[in-house]
Amino acid sequence: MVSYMKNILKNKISKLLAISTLMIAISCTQDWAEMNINPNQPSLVPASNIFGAGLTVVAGQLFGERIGIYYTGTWSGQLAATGAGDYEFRVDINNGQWDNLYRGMAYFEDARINALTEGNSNLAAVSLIMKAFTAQQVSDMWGDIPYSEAFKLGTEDILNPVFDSHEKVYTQILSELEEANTLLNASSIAVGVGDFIYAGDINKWKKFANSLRLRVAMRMSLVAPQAAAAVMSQILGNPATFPVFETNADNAYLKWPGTATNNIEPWRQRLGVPTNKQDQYRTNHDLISRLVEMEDPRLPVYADKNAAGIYNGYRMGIGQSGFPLNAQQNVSHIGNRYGYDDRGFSPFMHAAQVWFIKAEAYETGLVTGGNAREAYERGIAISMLDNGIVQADIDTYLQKPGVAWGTSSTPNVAKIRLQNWIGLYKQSVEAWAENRRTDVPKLVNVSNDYASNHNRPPFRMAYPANEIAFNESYPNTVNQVDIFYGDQIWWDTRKGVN
Amino acid sequence: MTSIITRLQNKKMIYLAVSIFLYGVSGLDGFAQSRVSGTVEDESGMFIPGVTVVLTGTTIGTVTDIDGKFDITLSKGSERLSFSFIGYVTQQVEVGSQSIIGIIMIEDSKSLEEVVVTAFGVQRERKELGYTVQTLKSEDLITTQDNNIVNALSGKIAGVQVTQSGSQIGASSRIIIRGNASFAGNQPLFVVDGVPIDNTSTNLSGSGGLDYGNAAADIDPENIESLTVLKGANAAALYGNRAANGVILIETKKGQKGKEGLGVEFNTSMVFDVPSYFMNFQNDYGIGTRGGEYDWQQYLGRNPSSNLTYNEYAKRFSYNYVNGIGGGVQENATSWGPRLDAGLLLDQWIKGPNSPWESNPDNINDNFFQTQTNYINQIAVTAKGKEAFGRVAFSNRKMTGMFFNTDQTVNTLNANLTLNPHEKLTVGTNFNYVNRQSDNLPVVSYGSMTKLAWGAFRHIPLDEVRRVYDEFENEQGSGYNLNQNNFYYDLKQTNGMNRERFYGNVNVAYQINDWLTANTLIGLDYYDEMRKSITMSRTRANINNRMGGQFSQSDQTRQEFNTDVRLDFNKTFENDFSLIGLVGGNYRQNKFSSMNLSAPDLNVPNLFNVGNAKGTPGVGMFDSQKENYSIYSSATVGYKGYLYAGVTARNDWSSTLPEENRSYFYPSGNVSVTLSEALDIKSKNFSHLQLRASMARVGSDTDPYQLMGTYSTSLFNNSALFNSPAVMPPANLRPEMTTSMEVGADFRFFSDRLSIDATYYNQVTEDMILNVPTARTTGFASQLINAAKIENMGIELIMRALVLDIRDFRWNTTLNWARNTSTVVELYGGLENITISSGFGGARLVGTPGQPWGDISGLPFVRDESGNIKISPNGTPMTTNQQKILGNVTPKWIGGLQNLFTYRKISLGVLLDFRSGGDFFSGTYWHSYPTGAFTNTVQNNVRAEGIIVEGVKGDGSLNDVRISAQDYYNGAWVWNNHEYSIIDGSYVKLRELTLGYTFSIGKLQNIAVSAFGRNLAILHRSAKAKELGLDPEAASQMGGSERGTGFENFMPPTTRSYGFNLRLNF
Repeated sequence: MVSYMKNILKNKISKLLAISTLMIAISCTQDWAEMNINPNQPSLVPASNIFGAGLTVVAGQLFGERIGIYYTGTWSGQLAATGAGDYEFRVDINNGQWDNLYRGMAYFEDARINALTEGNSNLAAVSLIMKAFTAQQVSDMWGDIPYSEAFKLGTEDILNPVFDSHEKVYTQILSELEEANTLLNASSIAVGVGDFIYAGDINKWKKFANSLRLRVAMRMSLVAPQAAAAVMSQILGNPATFPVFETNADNAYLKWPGTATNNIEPWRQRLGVPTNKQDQYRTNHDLISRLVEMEDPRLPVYADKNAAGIYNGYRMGIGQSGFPLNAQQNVSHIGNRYGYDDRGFSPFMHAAQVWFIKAEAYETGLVTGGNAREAYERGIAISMLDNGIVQADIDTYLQKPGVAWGTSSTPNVAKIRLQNWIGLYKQSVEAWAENRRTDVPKLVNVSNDYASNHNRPPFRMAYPANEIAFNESYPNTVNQVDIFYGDQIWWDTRKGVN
Repeated sequence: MTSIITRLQNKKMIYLAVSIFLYGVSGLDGFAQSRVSGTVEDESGMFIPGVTVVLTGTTIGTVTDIDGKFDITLSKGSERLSFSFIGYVTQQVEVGSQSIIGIIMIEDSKSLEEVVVTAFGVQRERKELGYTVQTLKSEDLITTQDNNIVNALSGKIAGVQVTQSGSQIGASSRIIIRGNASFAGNQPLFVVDGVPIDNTSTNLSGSGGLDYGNAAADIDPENIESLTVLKGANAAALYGNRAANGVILIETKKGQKGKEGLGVEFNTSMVFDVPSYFMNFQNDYGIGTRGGEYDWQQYLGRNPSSNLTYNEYAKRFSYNYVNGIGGGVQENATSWGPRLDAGLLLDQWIKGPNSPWESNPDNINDNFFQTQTNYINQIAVTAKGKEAFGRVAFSNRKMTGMFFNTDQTVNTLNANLTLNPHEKLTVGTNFNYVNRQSDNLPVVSYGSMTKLAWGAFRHIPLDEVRRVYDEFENEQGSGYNLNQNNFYYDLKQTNGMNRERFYGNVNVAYQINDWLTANTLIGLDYYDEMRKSITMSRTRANINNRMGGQFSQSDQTRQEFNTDVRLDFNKTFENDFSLIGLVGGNYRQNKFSSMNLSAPDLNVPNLFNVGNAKGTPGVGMFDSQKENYSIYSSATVGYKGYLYAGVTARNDWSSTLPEENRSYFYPSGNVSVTLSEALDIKSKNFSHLQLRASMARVGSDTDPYQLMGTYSTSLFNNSALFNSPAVMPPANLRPEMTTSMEVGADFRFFSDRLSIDATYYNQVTEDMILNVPTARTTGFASQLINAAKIENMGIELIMRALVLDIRDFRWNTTLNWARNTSTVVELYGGLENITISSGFGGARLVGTPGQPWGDISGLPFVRDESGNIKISPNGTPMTTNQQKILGNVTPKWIGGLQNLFTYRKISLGVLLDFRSGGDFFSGTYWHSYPTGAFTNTVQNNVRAEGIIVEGVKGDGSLNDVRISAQDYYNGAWVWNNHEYSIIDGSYVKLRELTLGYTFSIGKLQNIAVSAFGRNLAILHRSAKAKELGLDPEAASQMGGSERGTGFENFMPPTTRSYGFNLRLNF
């Protein structure tokens, strides 16, 4: 036996071994296709849940504390981070902001494509609206951005999407919103579980799409008045086809369930509980002082009194950390409704802004046939109502100097713009954009570290290091000074600012 | 495994042959007149069987028996006996009138180096190899009793870079051989008795976190017989697709060296790790803001009517304590307050109103850290008989940490059994059970240690904070701040772990004939690890949020199963040729699974059970599986014992690659010639010259489930959210290929007393499978592709010398030196660089084409054409958002110098370890400016006099703007600048110092005692590292992987270790 074995082994074993191993290998590798299917995560999912993921990503970033308070919140003159380094630029955070907003848009685009496969044109339309919404916010922050070629690595193998001009982005957004309005059909398939804003109300999505188009048009009205006027006339002239926001019931607010850790409203999550406000994120003197001056009833909703019992926002400017009124205990916290509510909201857009857009359009003659004063006062009233102010207080407010239509030396258009700006509390990217467009109110208090070189808050977000490194289409001609300054973006027509 | 059996059999055969011969010879000299007997043992007290004992000048002799005993009858007038054995220095002994002689054989380090272990444990002579391997013996690994086997390699092997990430309990150490060949996973493969052992290392990022260690630390150094480093692909090609980074081959103690019958080894050690390298905190200024004398003067200048004294100014504007929650002035600011020890009287926590404002030096050293202790005990029993031998060992390592309330215990049970039921059949098993348990491991990171700098302000007495904790736990917060956790309460938020690991093998060898052996080996490495982190209910956040605490628990299992079937052949032909080789196949399966639970809140406080969760508990699971098949073979032809030429070939099939690219083949070849013998040019002064060359390729695959994009899931209001895939799945992924070539020479002089071994290598990894980041605007964050090419080339030198050998005194020295140059040759699609680690605070670790591996990219100073720093009108450096390469983590060269002095039974070992170059980004340095807590923010009296930052203004003229130190060090510019925090990581360390003595008391024949120290001194470090008080080694690594390479972030102090060891054998 042994000698027989020996013989076999001696002469044949290496060949046998090699062949048998090879055979085993080949026969077993046929099971590998199945073994390689990921047992942990799905590769095919309902589009509505992708859309929902996109909403939470964009809400978390846009209405989170970094963009919402620290950067655009401060730059809009409404909010502040007490302590040094208010405009501090951090590479990784900057990457994260851009990346998350583009991630959100990629989800909307993925949801749109999947929705079309599912035959759900309503879901495809709302995905398009949210993508366009996000694109406006992103381009208002950065200017020229990749858009027409973006999100196409998977489908068209585009690795380096070209940077479209800000104007071109706006053109695409406008046409996408028009397309979405056309696609939406209340009698068609429902949007599904992922609609955390309107719970499937198609008519409200239509209003959102058209209101957003109005906002885009108004933003570009000083650089492209004819195109802006055409869009506005089309919408305001055909309310049946192009309904827009009218009351607070139309507001595009995402309300947070406030249940588990990651479903708590983002500001609240960062700022802590209302009973123990400690965070350094506070209100800004530029907003608070104006509200105090105009005895605005929204003040107690927007802010808390400081330790000394007065409303005091954080002052920017040279030596700001040395001002006694800027000491922690002297600066007003953000009000509970906005910053300290588990089930708080992320305000994508609200009806008051639409009324102010109408008011400005009528007042400046971009669109004819409307009543500017009526729209202005409706805008104020709706903003007040949204903040729980009673009608009597609204009526009193409308009579105050600086508010009342047609009184004092302040032109009505400046009042419209100021009221719009006040109403945009917590919509910091919007408030900052409107302020750059209109210079109302004039914000000359620049953070200590930049005050010696600049007479206005920053003009733009800095392009993130990742995009510069990974996208070969990044135009190296971008002029950025002191990180946040340099060229004013397309619709920013202010003169004499630096 | 097999090789050891072979070796044993060889030894036995030699023993048999020699004894038969000698007994035969001695039998002829039957008229002897005196008898001499005795025992022969080695330095550790092990009896050595088979030692040849010969009467000098004759053929009369014997060999020692299995218990090391000999008995020889000598003719009258015989004077000297000679004792010789392979691997030991031959000894001559004057017999005189002695009738009993005890001999201790001293290992011959030169000749022991001649026999080395190669792939699959095959023992070969060094001269047969066309590539480099380097071996450590048991003593090299256990003399200083480090709990992590990886650390024991520091400085001892040329080209091996060991980076110990910290001194705290359970800290990972990273080991790489011949540089970084990849952007992720550069560590070598660990193989214990033929079975691959997992060395998953905690992959901490630049911000740090919880370090669960590197899994190879589970290998108990006490059980290791020898450790061999197969450097790079050339030596390791046979190990297949994980061998590109080299292999650490470990052979365990098997009991065959022991005496017949029962043997006992006992070993006990105590090691004290004393925290020694602290950060340099300043003691000149306390908490507050704008409290420097300069700020006061500025205030007076702006307010000419004011006549505030410094004390009045300080109290009003800089710092005054009221209630710790914002009622006072700057109660919770950073350390920019008034000058300490200057006679100021301020309202303070504990001390009360108008109390002396005094410094607290050594506050942190004395009140936050303690001496870390390690108690190590091992007992091993060996037995040896005709048909079996074995060793069973149990060891216990008990550690308590330098952070209060941290600990770890490791129990290891190891059993090795070898059966020889038939002369041709050997069956063996190696069994290891390891239990690593910790109630709490320290968190070392930005989040935890930072508190000492940010929160433990320079005037706060930590002993008082401790007293507040003892009395109130966390109800009073830190004491001085109601809204901050007490530092000591934070140490109650524990992070426990329990790992149960089994690894081992069963092997069968059948000797078919005198040149052919069949082997089977089945090996398993399996572990289950439970981790549980808890947050107590009374943290300030939980008090504020009215929550009952949180916890997360995960359970993960990892398994690797291997089966090898192999034929070994080893034949010498009559015509001067020899042939050695093998052919075999392998099946490997890797499995991983994990489950985790977490509770966002608890109903009953501090009951950390998921049934007690309030709200929706977090749950998750993950499973993965991977398989490989391989066939491999190797053959080496030898000619006349001086010329050897070998080839290897291997083909792998990997389950994780696309079907069309699953199978890949790679060969290697090597040649070695001992010129001194071939050309017969050997002389006493030039005793040996060997030249060698080899070329190898190794292919590699990727992780499971990479070929298809999948959605990750989260929840919103009980609806599922599906997050679109972030990674673009690959279209046609190929295996990555490493091609390596090396040439080397081994020169020896003066009868081998001096040897110099030099190697040059060049290793190129192509088609590296990488997750390449894409612009997020593409819709994806990254794509998995064959994306990069990295080249490593270098030189390794090993110089050994027996410097002195005078009577009983010997001085051996070994110098290991290596220089590795890595180059990222190219990246996919013209990428500017690739992120290896996202680092910290915007400073990233990147690979840049044309540059060495591991550039640190970050924001630089803005400079003019002549390199001057440009200063803004506000007097601080200008900033930019354009990142630049600021440094590189790869050392220029590394090495170690080992000296061993022996005098009779006393030995003294000294190991120096050094690294030249290699930068790191220090998160502590970065924060040392804004916190104002470190000495660098008080240098040159800047707080009293202000500072004019060196640089030029916008118009090119020299900056002359004098500003407050706080405006400079705590200005916004610091967050937009990483350049000032890049530190050169060069060092020279006194790594090991050991003093040993061996003696006997009665029956206890070999008692070895030793005292030793580890990391006793940093003899050299860069000025910046010294300025902050950093250990450059630990500072250049967080955790055990690439994500933490080149980053430091509030590291705990490095310790000096002092230890004592006692060993008994009986």
